[in-house]
Amino acid sequence: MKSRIWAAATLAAFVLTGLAGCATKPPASDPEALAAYKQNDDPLEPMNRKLYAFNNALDTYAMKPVAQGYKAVVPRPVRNHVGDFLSNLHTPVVFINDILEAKSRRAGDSLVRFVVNSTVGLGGIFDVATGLGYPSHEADFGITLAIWGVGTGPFLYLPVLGPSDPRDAAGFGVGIVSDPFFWVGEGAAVTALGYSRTAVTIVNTRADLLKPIDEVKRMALDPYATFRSLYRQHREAAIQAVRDDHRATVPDWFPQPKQAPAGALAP
Amino acid sequence: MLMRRRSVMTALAAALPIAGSLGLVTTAHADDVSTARSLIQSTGAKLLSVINSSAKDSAKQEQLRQLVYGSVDVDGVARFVLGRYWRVATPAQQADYMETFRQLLVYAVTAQASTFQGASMKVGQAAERDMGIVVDTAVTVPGKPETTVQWVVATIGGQPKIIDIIAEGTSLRITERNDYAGVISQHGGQVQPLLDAMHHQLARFKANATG
Repeated sequence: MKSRIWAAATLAAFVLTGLAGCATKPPASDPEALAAYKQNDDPLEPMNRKLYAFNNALDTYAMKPVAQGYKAVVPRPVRNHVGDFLSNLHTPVVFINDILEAKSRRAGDSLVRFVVNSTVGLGGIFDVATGLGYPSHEADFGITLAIWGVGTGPFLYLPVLGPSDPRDAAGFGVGIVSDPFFWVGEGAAVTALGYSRTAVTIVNTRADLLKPIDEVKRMALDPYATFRSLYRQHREAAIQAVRDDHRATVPDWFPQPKQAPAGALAP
Repeated sequence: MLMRRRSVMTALAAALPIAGSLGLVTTAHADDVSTARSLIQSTGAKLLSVINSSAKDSAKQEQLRQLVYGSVDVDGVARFVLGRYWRVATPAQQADYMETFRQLLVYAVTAQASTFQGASMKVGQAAERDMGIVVDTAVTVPGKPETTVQWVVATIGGQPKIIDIIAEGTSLRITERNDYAGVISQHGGQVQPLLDAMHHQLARFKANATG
């Protein structure tokens, strides 16, 4: 457990110290270029592009081949159950953030998911809750900070972790320590289990993303700019989905308050 | 000071009838919402029938080409994607860009088609928003969780046309715009390197299609 804190700290130091380099801000005489610069909000672009190249190489020579091997050996249904199992382990963190976001219906969904999937779903191997009308949703401390009014900050491309921003990077750190399983137990076996969980999560997620990521790299003329855009839009949509979730905490048999307006983004 | 206030008042007075006529426009749009919804319903059905048909790849591509040119505001999307660099480009570059974009779009759609093999689509609500009329759909590909896809429709030259597709909150035309702007800004604001990259990609697609 301690070693994981150290790993995170080293990573942070690596990001903060090295690889300096700033994008040149366009002059005030070119308002359109200036507006685009502000909209991109990527003052560290030269450094970020270097880190993108680094991650891309790491991915091409390490993560992707492992994921491909895993995909070749493990059939789709098993991979889906591995994904369900891992996402069930992660549900307590989602639940904590639902509470912090003051979204009681989402917290209720998470609680039902964890209880049902851990029992009927045999420890989370089967995602029974989705079929019962409790689908999974996104919640993490980065989203929580956004709901609390913390700004996004400039775009960051983190080594190994990939696209981020100061808010999500802080959220990622809090996400690790707010995971109850991070604090459970001591000893070599528990540490080994923790590492295995992280490793399997990375490999299983990467295997799921083999096609989408390849597709972006194949179709994009500037993959870095494309991933940056996709990441930003995806995070913004996830935050908006939390904001738009106005489901009332009123029992079904009680007169219901007015529903959200038609055309609102689906939760 | 007084002068300025008066000019503000004049501007407001002038704006009032405009606001009034805007109100008329929005009420007239109730029809457009249902037209947009039926456009997505029919386009989605045609799209899926082409994708799921047993026709040859070349035949599928021709059908998709007709479908894209018929239901998408291709020129509008192309202009949006190039954004402020449109005015930087020379007329020859503009024409080249338009033609290459049209062709690339069809190859991009064809390339995506295999991902949606066996997919089904449910059309949900439609509503008018800032960017246009947004039609919500839920797309299900066997073995994968349901995806929310929103189609943005606008009336172009009297016809409803698709101007954007938003998958799980990410807009296709905004992503594309950022992609192209990335290439241009990496080459000192020049449009030609983007055109070169587009030609290169088109050549690659053509080689893949025949090989």
